[in-house]
Amino acid sequence: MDQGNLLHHFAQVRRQVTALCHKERFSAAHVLLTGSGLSAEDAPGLWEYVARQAALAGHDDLAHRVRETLWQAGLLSDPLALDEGAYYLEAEDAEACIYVLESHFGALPTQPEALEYLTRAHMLAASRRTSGGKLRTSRATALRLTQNIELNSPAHAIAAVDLLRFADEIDRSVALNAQARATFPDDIRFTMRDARIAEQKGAPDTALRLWREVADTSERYRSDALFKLLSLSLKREDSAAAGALAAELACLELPLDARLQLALLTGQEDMALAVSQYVSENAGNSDAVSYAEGKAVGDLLLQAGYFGLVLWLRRQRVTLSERAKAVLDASRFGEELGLPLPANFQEAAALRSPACMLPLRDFMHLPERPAGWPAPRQTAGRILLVNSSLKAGGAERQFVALVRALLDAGLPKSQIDVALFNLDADRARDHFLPDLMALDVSIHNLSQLQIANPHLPQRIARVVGALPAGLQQDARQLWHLCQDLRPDVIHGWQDRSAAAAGLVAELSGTERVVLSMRNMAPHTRQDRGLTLFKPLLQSWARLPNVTLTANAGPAAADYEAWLGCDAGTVDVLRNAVNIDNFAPIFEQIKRRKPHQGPLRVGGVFRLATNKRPLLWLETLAALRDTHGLQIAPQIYGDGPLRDQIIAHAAQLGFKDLMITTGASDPRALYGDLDILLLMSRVEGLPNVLLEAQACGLPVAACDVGGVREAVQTRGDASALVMDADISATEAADALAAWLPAARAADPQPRHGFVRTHFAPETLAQACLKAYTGTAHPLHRRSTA
Amino acid sequence: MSFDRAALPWRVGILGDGADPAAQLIEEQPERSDHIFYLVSDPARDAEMVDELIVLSQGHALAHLPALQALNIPCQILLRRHGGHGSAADWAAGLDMLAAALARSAAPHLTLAALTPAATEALRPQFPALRAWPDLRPVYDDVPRFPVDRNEAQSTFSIEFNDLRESRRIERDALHWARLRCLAQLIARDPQDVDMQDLVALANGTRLPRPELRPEDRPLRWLAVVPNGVGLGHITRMMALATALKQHRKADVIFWCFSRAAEILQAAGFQIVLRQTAQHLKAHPPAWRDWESAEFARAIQHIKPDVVSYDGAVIDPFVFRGLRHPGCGRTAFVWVLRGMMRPDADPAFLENAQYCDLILEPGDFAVSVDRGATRTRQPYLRGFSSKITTQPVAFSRTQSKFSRREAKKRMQLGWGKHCLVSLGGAFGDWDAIEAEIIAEAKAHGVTLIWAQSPLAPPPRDSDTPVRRLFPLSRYLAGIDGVITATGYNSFHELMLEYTGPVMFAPTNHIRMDDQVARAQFAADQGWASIVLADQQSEMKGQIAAFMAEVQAGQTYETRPDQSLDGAEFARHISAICQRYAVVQPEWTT
Repeated sequence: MDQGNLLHHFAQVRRQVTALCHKERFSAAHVLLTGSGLSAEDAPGLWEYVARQAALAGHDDLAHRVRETLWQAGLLSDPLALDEGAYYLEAEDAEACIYVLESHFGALPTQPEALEYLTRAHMLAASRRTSGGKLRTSRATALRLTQNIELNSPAHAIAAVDLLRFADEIDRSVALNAQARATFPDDIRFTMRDARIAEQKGAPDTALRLWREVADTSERYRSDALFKLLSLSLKREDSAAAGALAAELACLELPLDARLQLALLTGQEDMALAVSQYVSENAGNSDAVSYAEGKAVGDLLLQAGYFGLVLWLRRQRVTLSERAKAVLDASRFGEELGLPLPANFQEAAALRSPACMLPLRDFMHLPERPAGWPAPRQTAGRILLVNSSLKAGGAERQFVALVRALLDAGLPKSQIDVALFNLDADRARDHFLPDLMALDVSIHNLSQLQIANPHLPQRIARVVGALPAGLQQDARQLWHLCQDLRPDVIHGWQDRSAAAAGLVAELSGTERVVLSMRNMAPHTRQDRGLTLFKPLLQSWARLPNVTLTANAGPAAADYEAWLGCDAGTVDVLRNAVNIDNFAPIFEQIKRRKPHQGPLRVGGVFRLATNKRPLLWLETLAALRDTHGLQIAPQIYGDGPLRDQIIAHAAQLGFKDLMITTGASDPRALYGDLDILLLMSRVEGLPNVLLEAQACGLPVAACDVGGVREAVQTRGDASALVMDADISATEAADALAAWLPAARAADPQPRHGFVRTHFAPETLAQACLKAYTGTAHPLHRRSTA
Repeated sequence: MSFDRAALPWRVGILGDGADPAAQLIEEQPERSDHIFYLVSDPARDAEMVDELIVLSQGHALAHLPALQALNIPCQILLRRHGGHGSAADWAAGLDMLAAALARSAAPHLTLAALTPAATEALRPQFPALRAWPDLRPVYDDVPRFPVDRNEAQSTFSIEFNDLRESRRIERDALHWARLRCLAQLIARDPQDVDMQDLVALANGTRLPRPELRPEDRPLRWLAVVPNGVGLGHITRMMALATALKQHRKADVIFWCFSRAAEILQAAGFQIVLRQTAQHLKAHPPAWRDWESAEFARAIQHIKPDVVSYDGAVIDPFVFRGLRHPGCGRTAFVWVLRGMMRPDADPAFLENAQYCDLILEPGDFAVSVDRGATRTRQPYLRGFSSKITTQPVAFSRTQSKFSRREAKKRMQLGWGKHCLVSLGGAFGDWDAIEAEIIAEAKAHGVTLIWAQSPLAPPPRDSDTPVRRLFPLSRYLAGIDGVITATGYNSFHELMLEYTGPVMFAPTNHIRMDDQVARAQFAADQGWASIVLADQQSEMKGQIAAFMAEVQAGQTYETRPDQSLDGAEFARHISAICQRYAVVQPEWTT
């Protein structure tokens, strides 16, 4: 074709394309252009025209196809590259969006919209990577994309704030959010970001205030804010506030999944089943159960372990998520080797995970182990110790003490690995990390575990996929670590870690398993979240290679009662106190003269309902008012009831109550006290009683859990053990009668009691026997 | 014509689990005895269909609270004490939530109730307007004690039958609680389950001594479920029983009929509700069962039968689900279960005995050779069931017979010998036998007549006359010999009503009874001859000998003659109905 004809042809095609686009016949225009022989290289303007016109008319897929042609020709203009980025963002294809935008505009676009889309795409990519776990963003990317930025739109600002927030750049995210609030003052979502950041920073009061503001001012986000408020109130164990919020939510017209979530959050199983039944019976009616609601309900039920109900919903033709369908398919319901199909809703509701998969060996069709397996070993082999975190708590302190005791008992460092599910600094989950690091054992932070191949083998995925959400995440991470380490022994510490450790040990065929509970059983603690572990522990209690332990006789008996096991099923593995750490302060207290000022009463406990801090204050007030003692109360600890305690203390006249958080050094905790008082409703074996006695301090506590095992009860140096249900007045009377002799007594018996009964060597030897399988079953209760 | 809503029964919607004892006990409130109960899943949508809504628990109320608050009909929320799901703390939190939610927005149409006065007292501090449910209708006190425990799948109890104390077991949710409270004095086993204690206290209610059994004059209502079984045995047996009850108890009988032979019932003047099986409809069985259960329950509530009966070995669960539906609790269940099961038949079906009040085994002349599960096991040792074995049940006994002349005329038969062939049923391997019968009939000058069955194919020989003969017994005088399968009905009808030569050709279908044993027994007694489809070498001789007998006009005078005693059967049914009879105050004085 000569030049003239070419021009004529071009003009003709352009006219026709323009006419077709004018008539909104974009596909015809695209076909015409493709068939005209005018390629994107030949006539980029015409191609761009079709792409733009199609996009403007809402024909996104066609516009995308035309842009793709231009992209392949390397001729995509800036506006079209932006359109292409927006298209991928809309389709939630974050990776494609990032690729197009970074290829076209570079890693740090100067074009404001490109920066916005890229920021949002990175945030989307991060959230899609989590697959139910904790959301993490790349710090480098977050910093790069948010440095000196002009906030383009609310969506851009939100993405930028979140990128920083989830990269643990909290201060920067706070600053950027403040900038966003100033730029978009009417957008309540920045208040919501502030509230979330406050939660992340461990400032629940601020978070509560901000969420309340959202609930009161935004109709659209009201239920979201109320759910946040409810969740925070439950964490703070503020049942009155939680009840009021739940009631407020119950009165709202909520989507079905939100109503189910309300039921699950508040432990209303009847309500959860009622919502599920509604979904089941109205599955075919899209007016009653929308597509999105059905999917969300299925996912929530799966997360909560209502395995059978998810299957039932599928049989009732409710649309489920791909993940839920995959889990159900893997479970092989109704097949020869799978679980039986439930015949009705009630049967389906009774099919709960993990209980329905137990015994696990049967569910996985693994061959029976021969009788006598596993044989006792000479040495423990490689040990993996698992705990939830290293926050400032008694159980965490004991966990570190266990590692130290094992090393002191001669176990080589190379034989000990420690896995922790969470070591987040911003939530103070790493309090004892320096102590543990000082022991120079391998520490594995499971939340940041680098996994080469995140996929699980089919038979493992079948089990893990069906687990309730929290346990599933724990088991998934721990399983990958176990495949790397191949330990001979897994020792899980506290209920949550014990559940994950036991599961992974059984899935991996680990030879010996020790599961150590460190408190009373969940039913006594009224801890709803832990009750789902009951069938697991029941199942493991029957296995010869699993040792269950609690840290006090009453705690062991409580677990046995909860599990319905025979007495002696749960061993006692008592706490260990390194007495040398307390020797200097003991000497100091032993030598000091009686304090002449107000009686310095210490309370070292979490500021939570089970510790009864208000009763603790009321007891001291009664001691002061009835017995004329001057009292200087000092509390060490943190927790959800902090504000309530301060308010109550002020009411009772303790305006100068000192609440110290974060202290763990014995001198700081016990050095300035005259006595230690504990008024808990529930305790395992309270570490603070041991430590206070190791310092020589008189201790008083209520007769709950293992308190009696934890205190010296002979002579004048005897501890005061009060009734579990004692009133403040009665407790004050008992304290007043006990105090003079207790304060005057030689503190040596207290110190000696702890040295004799809670030596780290005893703990280490008991553990090593369990690890090697040489503990005599008849002496299980006498390991201390 | 104006629509008078007041003339219709009061419709009560129940929001909750239909298997919840509370749902089943509502109908026992005296003022609700005429109400109709519906299970409701969407209060906003279903409120139009009912006059009142009862919400069975605070959990269900919380799940649907905005919809309940927006209702324009009376709605009662039943508050339950702890014992069902979850911990005591969660239960308390649920009540707190509901109290706070109700306090947020007043809704006068919402009222609160508790199961018992004790529960009301316990919950009233939080809910001052709470009212206790009314006492239930009194029941009799001469019943065994029965433990209930939500955590146990089965209950074991002790019961006295015929002066013998027996230990029985039953699945936890087998029976409707309105039935259960009539049958037993309940005991809540789990002291932690306060809700169950409330339910038990409510269910036990007032117990009065049972008076002497008086003759019952009131007409009986009988709802007979007829499956789509093999052959006509189910239908004819039930017709025989229905006829006996009509005669002795003025019974009003309605058939819930899945059988393709429903026309026979209709022709006999019975009311029928014609149903379709899932197989007929090509429906998803669980979905079909849901609908069928609901429809069956609705029918029970409208018909209010004293007895529901089922004839057949395998009972579809829709029957029991229907019987457990709210509003269906004062109906006895009678299982008509014939013996002579094949020895290799799976006995699992006998578990259904636990749902029964009475297992009625129609007697079988061949019982001495019965090796089936009903003989080797004791199905009635489940639940509260008792068992009677009657004399053989044959519909023919209730029918008048034609004279030989009239019968021949009606069958349009001419001179000569006529042999009826009724290999009936939808199953059978008859090809070889049929060929031999045709050949030997010709050889012996006997004319064959083919019995038309709605369930059987026509003969392959198009010259063979086909006659529709139901009930067969009326025509037997005009027939000179019969070759037939050995189902319960044919066997007993012929043995009781016929004196001519009979040849049994038993089928060996797995779903059917042990026809071979029955036929062999008859042959051994000298009552009939036998031909077996799998013994082809002997077939020709056997059929030839039989045709010779037909031609010779041989008669058999030693056949048995005992059959159902209708009056006695009616007395048994009356006694069963007494279990659920409404206590009459004058009887208690």
